[in-house]
Amino acid sequence: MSEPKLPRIADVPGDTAPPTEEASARGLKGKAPPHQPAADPGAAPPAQPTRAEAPTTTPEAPAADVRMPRGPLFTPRVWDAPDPAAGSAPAPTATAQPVAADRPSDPHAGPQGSAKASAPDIAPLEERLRPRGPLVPLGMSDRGRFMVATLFGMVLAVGVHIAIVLALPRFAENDAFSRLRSTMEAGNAVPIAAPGRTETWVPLPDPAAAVAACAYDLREGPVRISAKAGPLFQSLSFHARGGGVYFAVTDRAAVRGELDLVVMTRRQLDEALAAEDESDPTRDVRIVAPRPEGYVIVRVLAPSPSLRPQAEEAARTVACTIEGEDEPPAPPTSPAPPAPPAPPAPPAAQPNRPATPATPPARR
Amino acid sequence: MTSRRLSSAALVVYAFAVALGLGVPSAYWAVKGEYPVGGQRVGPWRTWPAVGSNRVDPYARAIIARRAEIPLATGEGLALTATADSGGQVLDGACAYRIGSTVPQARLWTLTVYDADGRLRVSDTVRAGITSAEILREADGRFAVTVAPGARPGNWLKSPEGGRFTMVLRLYDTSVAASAASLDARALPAIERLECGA
Repeated sequence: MSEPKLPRIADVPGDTAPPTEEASARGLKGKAPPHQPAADPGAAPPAQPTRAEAPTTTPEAPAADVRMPRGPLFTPRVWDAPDPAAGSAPAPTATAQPVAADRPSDPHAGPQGSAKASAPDIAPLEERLRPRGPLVPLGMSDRGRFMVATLFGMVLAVGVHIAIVLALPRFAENDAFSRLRSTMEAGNAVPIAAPGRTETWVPLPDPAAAVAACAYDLREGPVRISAKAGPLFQSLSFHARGGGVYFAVTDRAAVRGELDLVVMTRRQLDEALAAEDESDPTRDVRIVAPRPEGYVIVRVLAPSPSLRPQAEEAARTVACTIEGEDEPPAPPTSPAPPAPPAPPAPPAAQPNRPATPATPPARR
Repeated sequence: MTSRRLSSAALVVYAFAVALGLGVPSAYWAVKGEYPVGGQRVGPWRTWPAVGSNRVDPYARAIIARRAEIPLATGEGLALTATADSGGQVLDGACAYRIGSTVPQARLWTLTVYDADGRLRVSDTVRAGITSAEILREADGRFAVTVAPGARPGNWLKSPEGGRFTMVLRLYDTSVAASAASLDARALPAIERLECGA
């Protein structure tokens, strides 16, 4: 423990930085254990080699100095002080160690504090640190803390409530879409409730209605729904999975006895519009679905029991086909010269009875 | 001091317990019964016009998903539900009711009776619903449907035995679906209680 071998340790306290300042600098990090000074004088000698290395280490070899207590957060003035005494490149070593971590049990810091800084200097520091501990201010009574916790719990409960309600449609495994998933492959609407019968999963079924459905996933392509209007009341409603009804139409909107609708996403509509032949606009009614997954419900009413078979048949013959599988999409090359954009009447044409608020109500 | 620190951890646990203990049951309770918001009462009938559109509220969405309901779209028609008569008394399967005598303009309407669990009670001889095409009318176009445990002349629907029941009036292809907010109770049929304990 001779002076020349430990230039920095000996110099630091006596040189510029008083021990209290050094202690407070460590105290800011909140890591100074009170019991450390007692154990550290013995630990100082083994730390000697690394300390001896430090002044000689050049900026090119920072890896050896990882143990140096010079973190970016560390106040430099305490540690910069001895460096001129050491005589070798003080500033470069400081900058060359950006990875130096805070070391609470640093063998160099310990002896320093214990060597010059006495125990009474550390004790008030401990007192200063203590109020940071508890979550709730210490001045509050236990009753107050309990009420704060209750209030906090109730606010959280509101969040839990909202989260569950919002997540339910997404995670419901027995919703209508999940039950109808098997109808996705079918080319026709699948009957799910027959008129006058009780065996159906549909809640509160109308005994006069024949209900058929086909689920779709627009990621496989737009879906074309084709229905023939008959003498019976017939309606098509378009449901987004977990998102309500976004479109509905009755057979009164049929053109020449036929209802032809194409359900597509907004992007598919844009593509269809881009590929469309201006001189030969489509007569399809295009419906933009707010979500890619959903289902179409066909309801055909039998005003009297004798018409039930007819209603069932009408519901069953509604076709749901994925566009682009059977027929190719509209040819991208249009023979007609690119005309100025005509009034886009056909694409977003609404049926006579618009039903739900709008065709493309929600954009994704 | 150490007791304080311990109780801090306990308070955090307690707060989370409160959050789960209140949040989960309240959410379950909110999606258990009928749609909690957006309901409209017209005489004895209740309707939720937004349920058939894309303006449906999150609670109704959750309920629809949970029960796998397929609501009637606003463009298809309007469904009105009654669980009590015009006097406010709960519909009882042991009582006889007279429903009439006008219905808003619609292409077709149906009146259906469900038991307390929402099931249809039908058999070969008993039907659970009646449509506007089947109904027998007076000379002035008025009508009356009798819901009673025993057979009645005229328009008769058998009331489900055993406690309370529900009636649903569905107006298909009607203009009032879009303006359900301005529905007048006089335009809808009244539910008049006749006698009980038959």
